[in-house]
Amino acid sequence: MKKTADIVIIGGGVAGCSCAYYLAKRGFRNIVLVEKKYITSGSTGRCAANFKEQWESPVKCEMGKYSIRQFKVLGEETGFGDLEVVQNGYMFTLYQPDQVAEFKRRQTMQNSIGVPTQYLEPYEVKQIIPQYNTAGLLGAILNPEDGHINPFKLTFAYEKGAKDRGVEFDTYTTVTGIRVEGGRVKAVITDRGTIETPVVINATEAETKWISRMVGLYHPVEPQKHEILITEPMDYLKLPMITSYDQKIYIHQMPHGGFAMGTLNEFQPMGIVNYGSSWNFLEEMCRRAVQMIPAFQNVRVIRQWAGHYGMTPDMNVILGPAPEVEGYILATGAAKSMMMSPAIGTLIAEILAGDTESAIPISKKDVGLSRFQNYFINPGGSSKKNMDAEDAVS
Amino acid sequence: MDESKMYLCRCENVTLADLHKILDAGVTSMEEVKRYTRCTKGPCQGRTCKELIAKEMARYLHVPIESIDIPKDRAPIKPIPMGEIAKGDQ
Repeated sequence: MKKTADIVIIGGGVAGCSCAYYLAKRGFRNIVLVEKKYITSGSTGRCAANFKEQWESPVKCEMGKYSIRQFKVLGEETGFGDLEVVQNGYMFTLYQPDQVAEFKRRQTMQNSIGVPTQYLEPYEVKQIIPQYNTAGLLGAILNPEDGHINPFKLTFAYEKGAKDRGVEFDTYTTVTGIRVEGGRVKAVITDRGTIETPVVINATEAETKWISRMVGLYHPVEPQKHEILITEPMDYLKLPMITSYDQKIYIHQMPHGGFAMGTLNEFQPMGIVNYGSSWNFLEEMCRRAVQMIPAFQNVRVIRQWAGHYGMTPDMNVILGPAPEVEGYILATGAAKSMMMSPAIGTLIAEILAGDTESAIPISKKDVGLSRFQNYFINPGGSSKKNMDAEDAVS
Repeated sequence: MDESKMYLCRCENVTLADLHKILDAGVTSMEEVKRYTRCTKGPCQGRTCKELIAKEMARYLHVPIESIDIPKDRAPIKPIPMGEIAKGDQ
């Protein structure tokens, strides 16, 4: 393990590995990534494996568009090989008139910046997904360019690309403290030794606030528990991913045939990390899925698990420095680390390089900490009130 | 015998040769083997392969089997149709 570094990245998930890769590709040297367990052991390995570029704001759409372009080349660029990128689309099914109005408003914005979302009538949904129970359905929004990527392979590809460019990966290494002197980061202390460094990147997503506490700061990233189940493998139908905010469910068939579906755990307050899975999730999810697609009745569930979103006040990423401590950088994906990892790594590299121009047509202010005036979110509060928030299920 | 024809995980087609290749690359954690190969993630959920793989890892790495981090069992223990679960207590 190195004793000194120019940059230390905390977190071996997809966000941290993406930062390692894009920083090394950009020419930064002497980078160390530390991870408490193994690569992909946190939220990355528990995610739903989908990506999308249809969002409620142009900033997220642009990051999504950029990321999808990168997904198509990263396998070859890193020398890792196939990343299982498929673009079967992503469909929001809408049951409320105000949802229809909102998604049509988004569609106008999305179409204007090159995201080809289209509005579908219920009969068109039925044509695409004959098994769908369209009772009560008002319409749907589909973006055919959204899709699936294997999150393990993606992260391992970043890891390989970074290692090939000299980045040191220290797994099974727990960060126990960060030394700050005179308002500047000096070193990262781990259970396997201390690494002197002027720059620390916190890419720990759900555990962000505990790392920030080590430099005496509070950052508004609260873990929120989500659960997911997967079925036995079925014929691969190449259907779009389906999300309904109304029925609080997403359903997504993986290329190996299993259907993954999940939602928020309403009973666990925000702010806690707990990977245990619950029986009431399993029962509720099966009820919702069978109601939406009755053919699921005879499909068997084989496994369930839980993971965490890192909830930020506006549910967008936080990328950039914390002004109070020089050299302390946040790289928080806000539950989008996997699908936006190329944008996260690229923007972090641009921020550290001091670029004024960007590969992604957004302002760094849109993703920085300074956009929050008063950013405390109630960590002990119920998760329920966030159910209606954007991304509560996606 | 040909190790590439000896299946440890039948659901996900993981062979003895696949496992040895990963162990030869320096991996010592069964959780990591699971992430690389998808072993124990098929319909049997490791009921046929989990102990087999753990045993082979211990033998190949010359460590006691207790030191292998066998992935935890996740509910449901065996596959159950969604329609049955959806019925709840009824």
